[in-house]
Amino acid sequence: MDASIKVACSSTSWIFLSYSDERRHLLDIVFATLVLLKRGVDISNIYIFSSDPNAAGILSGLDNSNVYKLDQFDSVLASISYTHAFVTITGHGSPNGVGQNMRSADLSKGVRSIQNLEIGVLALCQCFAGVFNFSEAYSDPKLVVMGATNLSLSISSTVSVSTGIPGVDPLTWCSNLFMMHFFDWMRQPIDIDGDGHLTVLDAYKYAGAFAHDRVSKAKSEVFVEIQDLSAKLTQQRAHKATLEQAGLETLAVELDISSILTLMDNKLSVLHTSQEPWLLNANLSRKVELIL
Amino acid sequence: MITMPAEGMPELSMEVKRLVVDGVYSLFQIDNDSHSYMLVTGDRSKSYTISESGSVVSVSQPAQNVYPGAAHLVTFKLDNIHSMNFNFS
Repeated sequence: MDASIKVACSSTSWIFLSYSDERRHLLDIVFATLVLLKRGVDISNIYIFSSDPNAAGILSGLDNSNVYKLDQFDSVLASISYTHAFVTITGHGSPNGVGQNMRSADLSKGVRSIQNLEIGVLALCQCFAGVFNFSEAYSDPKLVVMGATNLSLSISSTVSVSTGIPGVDPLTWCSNLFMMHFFDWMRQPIDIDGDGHLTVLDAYKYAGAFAHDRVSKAKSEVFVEIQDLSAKLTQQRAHKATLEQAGLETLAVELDISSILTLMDNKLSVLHTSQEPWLLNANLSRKVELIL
Repeated sequence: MITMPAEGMPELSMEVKRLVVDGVYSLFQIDNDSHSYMLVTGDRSKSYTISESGSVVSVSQPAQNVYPGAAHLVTFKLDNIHSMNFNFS
Protein backbone atom coordinates (compact mmCIF):
# COMPACT_ATOMS: atom_id res chain seq x y z
CA MET A 1 0.00 0.00 0.00
CA ASP A 2 1.14 3.58 -0.69
CA ALA A 3 1.97 5.80 2.27
CA SER A 4 -1.22 6.09 4.22
CA ILE A 5 -2.85 9.31 5.33
CA LYS A 6 -3.92 8.84 8.91
CA VAL A 7 -7.14 10.60 9.80
CA ALA A 8 -8.02 10.80 13.47
CA CYS A 9 -11.80 10.58 13.56
CA SER A 10 -11.95 12.32 16.92
CA SER A 11 -10.54 15.56 15.49
CA THR A 12 -12.32 15.41 12.13
CA SER A 13 -15.35 17.53 11.40
CA TRP A 14 -18.40 15.36 10.77
CA ILE A 15 -20.90 17.25 8.68
CA PHE A 16 -24.43 16.07 7.87
CA LEU A 17 -26.80 17.65 5.43
CA SER A 18 -30.43 16.70 4.84
CA TYR A 19 -32.89 18.23 2.43
CA SER A 20 -36.11 16.75 3.73
CA ASP A 21 -38.97 17.37 6.13
CA GLU A 22 -39.27 13.67 6.94
CA ARG A 23 -38.14 12.62 10.40
CA ARG A 24 -36.55 9.44 9.01
CA HIS A 25 -33.72 11.45 7.48
CA LEU A 26 -32.97 13.08 10.80
CA LEU A 27 -32.94 9.59 12.31
CA ASP A 28 -30.28 8.62 9.74
CA ILE A 29 -28.22 11.40 11.29
CA VAL A 30 -29.13 10.37 14.86
CA PHE A 31 -27.84 6.85 14.19
CA ALA A 32 -24.59 8.15 12.69
CA THR A 33 -24.15 10.55 15.59
CA LEU A 34 -24.61 7.78 18.16
CA VAL A 35 -21.91 5.77 16.39
CA LEU A 36 -19.52 8.71 16.29
CA LEU A 37 -20.08 9.56 19.94
CA LYS A 38 -19.37 5.95 20.80
CA ARG A 39 -16.14 6.19 18.80
CA GLY A 40 -15.02 9.15 20.89
CA VAL A 41 -15.98 12.00 18.59
CA ASP A 42 -16.88 15.10 20.56
CA ILE A 43 -20.36 16.46 19.80
CA SER A 44 -18.81 19.87 19.06
CA ASN A 45 -17.21 18.35 15.94
CA ILE A 46 -20.58 17.24 14.54
CA TYR A 47 -22.44 19.74 12.34
CA ILE A 48 -25.99 19.17 11.15
CA PHE A 49 -27.71 21.13 8.37
CA SER A 50 -31.37 20.43 7.69
CA SER A 51 -34.24 21.96 5.77
CA ASP A 52 -36.68 20.58 8.35
CA PRO A 53 -38.00 23.51 10.40
CA ASN A 54 -38.50 21.11 13.31
CA ALA A 55 -34.97 19.70 13.19
CA ALA A 56 -33.74 21.54 16.27
CA GLY A 57 -36.67 20.24 18.32
CA ILE A 58 -36.45 16.68 17.03
CA LEU A 59 -32.66 16.57 17.56
CA SER A 60 -32.76 18.31 20.94
CA GLY A 61 -31.91 15.03 22.70
CA LEU A 62 -28.46 15.03 21.07
CA ASP A 63 -27.57 18.21 22.92
CA ASN A 64 -25.76 19.48 19.84
CA SER A 65 -25.51 23.24 19.44
CA ASN A 66 -24.32 22.83 15.83
CA VAL A 67 -27.75 22.30 14.26
CA TYR A 68 -28.26 24.75 11.39
CA LYS A 69 -30.63 25.56 8.59
CA LEU A 70 -29.63 24.34 5.15
CA ASP A 71 -28.97 27.82 3.81
CA GLN A 72 -26.29 28.33 6.49
CA PHE A 73 -24.13 25.56 5.00
CA ASP A 74 -21.71 27.83 3.10
CA SER A 75 -21.27 30.43 5.81
CA VAL A 76 -20.74 27.92 8.63
CA LEU A 77 -18.26 25.81 6.67
CA ALA A 78 -16.27 28.89 5.71
CA SER A 79 -16.00 29.79 9.40
CA ILE A 80 -14.62 26.50 10.74
CA SER A 81 -11.10 25.09 10.64
CA TYR A 82 -10.27 21.39 10.28
CA THR A 83 -7.63 19.46 8.33
CA HIS A 84 -10.11 16.68 7.61
CA ALA A 85 -13.84 16.82 6.97
CA PHE A 86 -16.34 14.08 6.42
CA VAL A 87 -19.56 15.22 4.76
CA THR A 88 -22.60 12.95 4.54
CA ILE A 89 -25.74 13.86 2.65
CA THR A 90 -29.07 12.21 3.35
CA GLY A 91 -32.61 13.35 2.61
CA HIS A 92 -33.98 13.86 -0.86
CA GLY A 93 -31.93 14.36 -3.98
CA SER A 94 -33.14 15.18 -7.47
CA PRO A 95 -31.66 15.31 -10.96
CA ASN A 96 -30.89 18.96 -10.13
CA GLY A 97 -28.79 18.11 -7.08
CA VAL A 98 -29.79 18.73 -3.48
CA GLY A 99 -32.34 21.28 -2.35
CA GLN A 100 -33.11 24.41 -4.27
CA ASN A 101 -29.67 25.23 -5.56
CA MET A 102 -26.91 22.89 -4.39
CA ARG A 103 -25.23 21.22 -7.33
CA SER A 104 -21.99 19.29 -7.49
CA ALA A 105 -19.75 22.33 -7.95
CA ASP A 106 -21.51 24.20 -5.14
CA LEU A 107 -20.97 21.33 -2.71
CA SER A 108 -17.27 20.94 -3.57
CA LYS A 109 -16.73 24.68 -3.24
CA GLY A 110 -18.49 24.75 0.13
CA VAL A 111 -16.46 21.87 1.54
CA ARG A 112 -13.19 23.28 0.21
CA SER A 113 -13.93 26.57 1.97
CA ILE A 114 -13.24 24.91 5.34
CA GLN A 115 -10.12 26.61 6.63
CA ASN A 116 -6.90 24.51 6.60
CA LEU A 117 -8.67 21.57 4.94
CA GLU A 118 -6.33 18.94 3.52
CA ILE A 119 -8.75 16.14 2.62
CA GLY A 120 -12.53 16.03 2.41
CA VAL A 121 -14.58 12.86 2.16
CA LEU A 122 -18.09 13.19 0.75
CA ALA A 123 -20.68 10.42 1.07
CA LEU A 124 -23.72 11.17 -1.05
CA CYS A 125 -26.54 8.93 0.09
CA GLN A 126 -29.51 10.68 -1.49
CA CYS A 127 -31.37 9.80 -4.69
CA PHE A 128 -29.66 10.67 -7.97
CA ALA A 129 -26.29 10.92 -6.19
CA GLY A 130 -24.62 10.22 -9.53
CA VAL A 131 -25.20 13.80 -10.66
CA PHE A 132 -22.34 14.61 -8.23
CA ASN A 133 -20.02 12.09 -9.90
CA PHE A 134 -17.04 13.07 -12.09
CA SER A 135 -16.64 16.30 -10.17
CA GLU A 136 -13.20 17.91 -9.89
CA ALA A 137 -11.80 16.04 -6.89
CA TYR A 138 -8.06 16.03 -7.55
CA SER A 139 -6.92 19.58 -6.89
CA ASP A 140 -6.05 20.67 -3.35
CA PRO A 141 -7.68 20.22 -1.00
CA LYS A 142 -8.37 16.79 -2.47
CA LEU A 143 -11.76 15.14 -2.18
CA VAL A 144 -12.89 11.53 -2.02
CA VAL A 145 -16.46 11.44 -3.28
CA MET A 146 -18.75 8.43 -3.11
CA GLY A 147 -22.38 7.88 -4.02
CA ALA A 148 -24.85 5.36 -2.68
CA THR A 149 -26.48 5.19 -6.08
CA ASN A 150 -25.87 6.47 -9.57
CA LEU A 151 -28.49 8.30 -11.67
CA SER A 152 -31.38 6.59 -9.94
CA LEU A 153 -33.11 6.18 -6.59
CA SER A 154 -31.39 5.56 -3.28
CA ILE A 155 -33.15 2.95 -1.22
CA SER A 156 -34.33 3.16 2.36
CA SER A 157 -35.87 0.30 4.29
CA THR A 158 -37.18 -0.11 7.81
CA VAL A 159 -34.70 -1.35 10.39
CA SER A 160 -34.83 -1.55 14.14
CA VAL A 161 -31.57 -1.02 15.96
CA SER A 162 -30.91 -1.94 19.54
CA THR A 163 -28.91 0.95 20.95
CA GLY A 164 -28.99 0.26 24.67
CA ILE A 165 -29.58 3.99 25.13
CA PRO A 166 -32.69 5.00 27.11
CA GLY A 167 -35.16 6.92 24.98
CA VAL A 168 -33.82 5.59 21.68
CA ASP A 169 -33.88 1.85 22.26
CA PRO A 170 -34.81 0.42 19.90
CA LEU A 171 -34.22 3.02 17.22
CA THR A 172 -36.64 2.10 14.45
CA TRP A 173 -36.90 4.03 11.20
CA CYS A 174 -36.91 3.77 7.43
CA SER A 175 -33.17 3.92 7.11
CA ASN A 176 -31.00 5.04 4.20
CA LEU A 177 -29.32 1.68 3.74
CA PHE A 178 -26.00 2.83 2.33
CA MET A 179 -25.56 5.46 5.02
CA MET A 180 -26.65 3.14 7.80
CA HIS A 181 -24.18 0.45 6.72
CA PHE A 182 -21.43 3.02 6.25
CA PHE A 183 -21.75 4.08 9.87
CA ASP A 184 -22.19 0.47 10.94
CA TRP A 185 -18.70 -0.02 9.50
CA MET A 186 -17.56 2.93 11.61
CA ARG A 187 -19.05 1.21 14.63
CA GLN A 188 -17.20 -2.01 13.96
CA PRO A 189 -14.68 -1.54 11.14
CA ILE A 190 -13.56 -4.46 9.00
CA ASP A 191 -10.53 -4.64 6.71
CA ILE A 192 -12.57 -5.68 3.69
CA ASP A 193 -9.70 -5.70 1.19
CA GLY A 194 -7.22 -7.31 3.56
CA ASP A 195 -4.44 -4.75 3.16
CA GLY A 196 -4.00 -4.40 6.90
CA HIS A 197 -5.49 -0.91 7.07
CA LEU A 198 -8.95 0.42 7.89
CA THR A 199 -9.56 2.88 5.10
CA VAL A 200 -12.36 4.88 3.54
CA LEU A 201 -12.25 2.35 0.70
CA ASP A 202 -13.10 -0.45 3.14
CA ALA A 203 -16.05 1.54 4.46
CA TYR A 204 -17.29 2.22 0.92
CA LYS A 205 -17.09 -1.44 -0.09
CA TYR A 206 -18.80 -2.55 3.12
CA ALA A 207 -21.65 -0.04 2.78
CA GLY A 208 -22.26 -0.73 -0.89
CA ALA A 209 -22.20 -4.50 -0.58
CA PHE A 210 -24.29 -4.79 2.56
CA ALA A 211 -26.88 -2.25 1.36
CA HIS A 212 -27.30 -4.24 -1.83
CA ASP A 213 -27.46 -7.51 0.08
CA ARG A 214 -30.19 -6.17 2.37
CA VAL A 215 -32.27 -4.92 -0.56
CA SER A 216 -31.93 -8.23 -2.40
CA LYS A 217 -33.10 -10.21 0.62
CA ALA A 218 -36.06 -7.86 1.21
CA LYS A 219 -37.49 -8.09 -2.30
CA SER A 220 -39.53 -11.28 -1.94
CA GLU A 221 -41.04 -10.10 1.34
CA VAL A 222 -41.81 -6.68 -0.08
CA PHE A 223 -43.51 -8.31 -3.08
CA VAL A 224 -46.00 -10.02 -0.77
CA GLU A 225 -46.54 -6.81 1.24
CA ILE A 226 -47.41 -4.93 -1.94
CA GLN A 227 -50.10 -7.51 -2.78
CA ASP A 228 -51.62 -7.00 0.67
CA LEU A 229 -51.49 -3.23 0.34
CA SER A 230 -53.10 -3.41 -3.08
CA ALA A 231 -56.02 -5.41 -1.66
CA LYS A 232 -56.42 -2.91 1.19
CA LEU A 233 -56.37 -0.02 -1.25
CA THR A 234 -59.25 -1.51 -3.23
CA GLN A 235 -61.15 -2.13 -0.01
CA GLN A 236 -60.65 1.41 1.31
CA ARG A 237 -61.58 3.04 -1.99
CA ALA A 238 -64.86 1.12 -1.96
CA HIS A 239 -65.40 2.13 1.67
CA LYS A 240 -64.84 5.78 0.79
CA ALA A 241 -67.40 5.59 -2.03
CA THR A 242 -69.93 4.09 0.38
CA LEU A 243 -69.35 6.84 2.92
CA GLU A 244 -69.68 9.54 0.25
CA GLN A 245 -72.96 8.08 -0.98
CA ALA A 246 -74.28 8.15 2.57
CA GLY A 247 -73.06 11.74 3.04
CA LEU A 248 -70.71 10.73 5.87
CA GLU A 249 -67.29 12.05 6.86
CA THR A 250 -64.40 10.64 4.78
CA LEU A 251 -61.41 12.27 6.49
CA ALA A 252 -60.11 9.10 8.13
CA VAL A 253 -60.48 6.90 5.06
CA GLU A 254 -58.77 9.53 2.90
CA LEU A 255 -55.83 9.47 5.30
CA ASP A 256 -55.75 5.69 5.07
CA ILE A 257 -55.81 5.72 1.27
CA SER A 258 -52.99 8.25 0.99
CA SER A 259 -51.00 6.28 3.58
CA ILE A 260 -51.42 3.04 1.65
CA LEU A 261 -50.29 4.77 -1.55
CA THR A 262 -47.23 6.22 0.22
CA LEU A 263 -46.28 2.80 1.61
CA MET A 264 -46.74 1.21 -1.82
CA ASP A 265 -44.58 3.87 -3.41
CA ASN A 266 -41.77 3.23 -0.92
CA LYS A 267 -41.98 -0.53 -1.29
CA LEU A 268 -42.12 -0.43 -5.08
CA SER A 269 -38.83 1.45 -5.10
CA VAL A 270 -37.28 -1.38 -3.05
CA LEU A 271 -38.74 -3.93 -5.43
CA HIS A 272 -37.81 -2.34 -8.74
CA THR A 273 -34.69 -0.27 -8.09
CA SER A 274 -31.19 -1.63 -8.18
CA GLN A 275 -28.78 0.52 -6.20
CA GLU A 276 -25.23 0.64 -7.53
CA PRO A 277 -22.69 2.76 -5.63
CA TRP A 278 -19.75 4.64 -7.14
CA LEU A 279 -16.48 6.08 -5.93
CA LEU A 280 -14.43 9.01 -7.23
CA ASN A 281 -10.72 9.34 -6.38
CA ALA A 282 -10.53 5.69 -5.36
CA ASN A 283 -6.73 5.70 -5.04
CA LEU A 284 -6.92 8.40 -2.41
CA SER A 285 -9.70 6.57 -0.59
CA ARG A 286 -7.38 3.55 -0.30
CA LYS A 287 -4.76 5.73 1.40
CA VAL A 288 -7.07 7.48 3.86
CA GLU A 289 -6.75 5.40 6.99
CA LEU A 290 -9.32 6.06 9.69
CA ILE A 291 -7.99 6.06 13.22
CA LEU A 292 -11.04 5.12 15.23
CA MET B 1 -39.73 9.90 22.38
CA ILE B 2 -42.93 8.21 23.52
CA THR B 3 -43.31 4.61 22.34
CA MET B 4 -46.84 3.20 22.30
CA PRO B 5 -47.71 -0.46 21.83
CA ALA B 6 -49.06 -1.48 18.43
CA GLU B 7 -52.56 -1.53 19.94
CA GLY B 8 -52.29 2.11 21.05
CA MET B 9 -54.60 4.59 19.30
CA PRO B 10 -56.83 1.74 18.04
CA GLU B 11 -58.70 3.86 15.51
CA LEU B 12 -55.51 4.76 13.67
CA SER B 13 -54.84 2.30 10.84
CA MET B 14 -51.77 0.08 10.83
CA GLU B 15 -50.61 1.76 7.60
CA VAL B 16 -50.54 5.17 9.30
CA LYS B 17 -48.72 3.69 12.30
CA ARG B 18 -46.17 2.08 10.00
CA LEU B 19 -45.43 5.43 8.35
CA VAL B 20 -45.06 7.02 11.78
CA VAL B 21 -42.61 4.30 12.81
CA ASP B 22 -40.72 4.70 9.51
CA GLY B 23 -40.33 8.41 10.16
CA VAL B 24 -42.19 9.36 6.99
CA TYR B 25 -45.05 10.83 9.03
CA SER B 26 -44.44 12.66 12.28
CA LEU B 27 -46.75 12.27 15.27
CA PHE B 28 -46.38 14.83 18.04
CA GLN B 29 -48.05 15.11 21.38
CA ILE B 30 -49.55 18.57 21.49
CA ASP B 31 -48.09 20.60 24.32
CA ASN B 32 -50.21 21.08 27.42
CA ASP B 33 -52.77 18.62 26.22
CA SER B 34 -51.72 15.00 26.43
CA HIS B 35 -55.02 13.85 24.93
CA SER B 36 -54.46 15.39 21.51
CA TYR B 37 -51.85 14.66 18.89
CA MET B 38 -50.70 16.17 15.61
CA LEU B 39 -49.95 13.95 12.62
CA VAL B 40 -47.91 15.58 9.86
CA THR B 41 -47.46 13.94 6.46
CA GLY B 42 -43.97 13.56 5.03
CA ASP B 43 -44.42 16.17 2.32
CA ARG B 44 -45.93 18.54 4.89
CA SER B 45 -48.98 18.93 2.66
CA LYS B 46 -51.40 18.06 5.46
CA SER B 47 -51.56 17.83 9.22
CA TYR B 48 -54.25 16.05 11.18
CA THR B 49 -55.39 16.52 14.73
CA ILE B 50 -55.73 13.05 16.23
CA SER B 51 -57.58 12.08 19.38
CA GLU B 52 -56.23 9.79 22.09
CA SER B 53 -58.11 6.89 20.50
CA GLY B 54 -56.57 7.60 17.10
CA SER B 55 -59.60 9.06 15.38
CA VAL B 56 -59.10 11.94 12.95
CA VAL B 57 -60.57 15.13 14.39
CA SER B 58 -59.59 17.72 11.80
CA VAL B 59 -57.21 18.40 8.93
CA SER B 60 -55.14 21.44 7.95
CA GLN B 61 -53.66 22.06 4.51
CA PRO B 62 -50.79 22.71 4.30
CA ALA B 63 -49.24 21.78 7.63
CA GLN B 64 -47.89 24.63 9.69
CA ASN B 65 -44.15 25.19 9.63
CA VAL B 66 -42.91 24.64 13.17
CA TYR B 67 -44.56 22.58 15.88
CA PRO B 68 -43.92 23.43 19.51
CA GLY B 69 -44.38 19.76 20.34
CA ALA B 70 -41.66 18.56 17.99
CA ALA B 71 -39.64 17.32 20.94
CA HIS B 72 -42.56 15.17 22.10
CA LEU B 73 -42.50 12.63 19.31
CA VAL B 74 -44.65 9.54 19.43
CA THR B 75 -43.91 6.21 17.78
CA PHE B 76 -45.25 2.66 17.99
CA LYS B 77 -43.69 -0.68 18.75
CA LEU B 78 -44.67 -2.78 15.75
CA ASP B 79 -43.85 -6.37 14.96
CA ASN B 80 -42.47 -7.69 11.67
CA ILE B 81 -39.76 -5.07 11.35
CA HIS B 82 -36.32 -6.21 10.32
CA SER B 83 -34.16 -6.01 13.39
CA MET B 84 -30.44 -5.51 13.41
CA ASN B 85 -28.38 -6.29 16.42
CA PHE B 86 -26.25 -3.25 17.19
CA ASN B 87 -24.73 -3.06 20.57
CA PHE B 88 -23.73 0.43 21.57
CA SER B 89 -23.39 -0.26 25.23
